[in-house]
Amino acid sequence: MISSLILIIIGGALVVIGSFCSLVAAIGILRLPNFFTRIHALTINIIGGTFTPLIGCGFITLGLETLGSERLFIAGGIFFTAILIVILGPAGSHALTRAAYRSKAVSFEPKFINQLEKEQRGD
Amino acid sequence: MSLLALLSVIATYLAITERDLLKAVIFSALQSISYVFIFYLLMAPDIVLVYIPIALGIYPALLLFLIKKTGRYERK
Amino acid sequence: MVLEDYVRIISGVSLAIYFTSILLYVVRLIKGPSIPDMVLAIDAITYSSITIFILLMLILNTPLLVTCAMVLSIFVYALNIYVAKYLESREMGE
Repeated sequence: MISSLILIIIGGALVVIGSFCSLVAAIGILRLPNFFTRIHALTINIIGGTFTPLIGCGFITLGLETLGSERLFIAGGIFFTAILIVILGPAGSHALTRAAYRSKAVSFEPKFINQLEKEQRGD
Repeated sequence: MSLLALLSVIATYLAITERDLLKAVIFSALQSISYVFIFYLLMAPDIVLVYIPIALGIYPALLLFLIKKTGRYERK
Repeated sequence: MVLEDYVRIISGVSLAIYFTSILLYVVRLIKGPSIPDMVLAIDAITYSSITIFILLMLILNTPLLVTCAMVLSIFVYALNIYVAKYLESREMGE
């Protein structure tokens, strides 16, 4: 009984942290001026806003005794989803950023320094 | 759920009246995501399991292959 | 019974916050100036919808609905890869 209480409290705290990160990422995607700064807000949404609440929901379903023996099935599905997201999400965002940089489809408008261009020119 | 239906109508209108065909593909992806929401809220998980690989996997790949073979911008 | 009420309150408040963030992403998608911005907004909408599916499954107590989130998490990054391959192939071809 006490172990289920601890699991549910930890899971609730993780879900609250995840919803806060999602709100921060939404404001960042709406207000940041450049594409390469918006991809930073997307990464906040992937790791902080999706991976963390999924782990929290897995702890909550392990702690709820009223679901019966089906809670192991639900928790297994949730943990599988979380591991899949933390592998596939950064790969997709990195591919998108590389294509956007090499095809020059975006604008670099507030730019201070571009280290990659300076290295490719051969300094 | 009515808000999601309205969002899908707006996405379909933007996809039809768009000159750039690549943006039209992305708006149709928004429409399919709102349909996934509606099917989920109607408690039909089997239709969601079939609809996701068609609407997010095969359909944009086929359309982008066709756009690569032909032109990107639509004529007047 | 106290624990179920606690879980229900936390899930409801988080659900409201996630729907608000999806509205902000839709605003960015409609006024986005270039192609990768719109793909980025579609990605953010899909990642938030996975979490909404899991939270709704916790509220509604239906164990079969977890498979929808698993399939959706596999097919999220397909649009990324397709658009990236299109842009890079056009840059390579010329």
